[in-house]
Amino acid sequence: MDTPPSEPSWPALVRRARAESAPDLDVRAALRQQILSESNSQRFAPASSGILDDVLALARGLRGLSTIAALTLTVMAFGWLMSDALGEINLVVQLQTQLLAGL
Amino acid sequence: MSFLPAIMPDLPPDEEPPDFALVQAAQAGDLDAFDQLVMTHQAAISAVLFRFSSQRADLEDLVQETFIRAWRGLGTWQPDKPFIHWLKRIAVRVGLEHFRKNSRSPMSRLVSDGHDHLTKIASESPTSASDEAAQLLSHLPPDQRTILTLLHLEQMPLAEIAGHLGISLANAKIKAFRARKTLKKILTRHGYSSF
Repeated sequence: MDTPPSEPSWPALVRRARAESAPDLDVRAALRQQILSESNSQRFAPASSGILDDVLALARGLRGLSTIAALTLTVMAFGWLMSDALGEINLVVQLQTQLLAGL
Repeated sequence: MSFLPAIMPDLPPDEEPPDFALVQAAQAGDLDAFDQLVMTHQAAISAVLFRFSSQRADLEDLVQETFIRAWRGLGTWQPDKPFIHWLKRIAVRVGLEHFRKNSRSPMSRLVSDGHDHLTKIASESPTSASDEAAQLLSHLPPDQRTILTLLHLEQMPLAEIAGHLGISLANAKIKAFRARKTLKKILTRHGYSSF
């Protein structure tokens, strides 16, 4: 008569798994290759992207600054023109007042 | 605040750690010195990472990734702690990332939970006890899976696991408790007697 298969047990499975060991590996050659290829790619990399990024950021900053400067100048010029125009109007009003007073 | 376990005591201040000279030379670009460090520690690192993947090709990748990260970060090793402890910390993180990359999505877990896992495991026929245990643990979220993998299979103390994962011991205990609870359900569903 067949006996029913025993229930698998986690502790027994863990014991068997612990008894298994890692295969012997030697990754030294692969590591050396990877390290050398990394250092080569760094050596021959085009001018550091870090510097390029910095230059671009500076250009962007300068462009921003020049926009602000241009706006400021425009406002100043407009203000100057406006004050001129107001001066002209004031002069016309004064002349007109004197003219009316003379009449 | 230090999470480093008591089982890894600091070295006496006057004593130079055994790997110190080699690490210094490697930091200066000496590949032969780094080769020696790899030769000394690759068996220990392979043993830890074998718990994360018993497939030779994956295991090789994980071990290589660990040492590449070590090479890049040699300057961050604090000589007051053993070099192997620092390496194991990197290895555990590499292993955790491996679990995250290969973790089941919540949807796939939902779908697979509706099936008879005994049939599934039998049909996938794990070739070793490590594979079988890994398949059962793969139903856990990656961080819980990492903790139980190290705790049950590697028999690593919880304090050391907490140190490697950069979490507090209390947090590690909570995660381990939750993980054990979930694993019990998984084992029952799969017809395994629990722990």
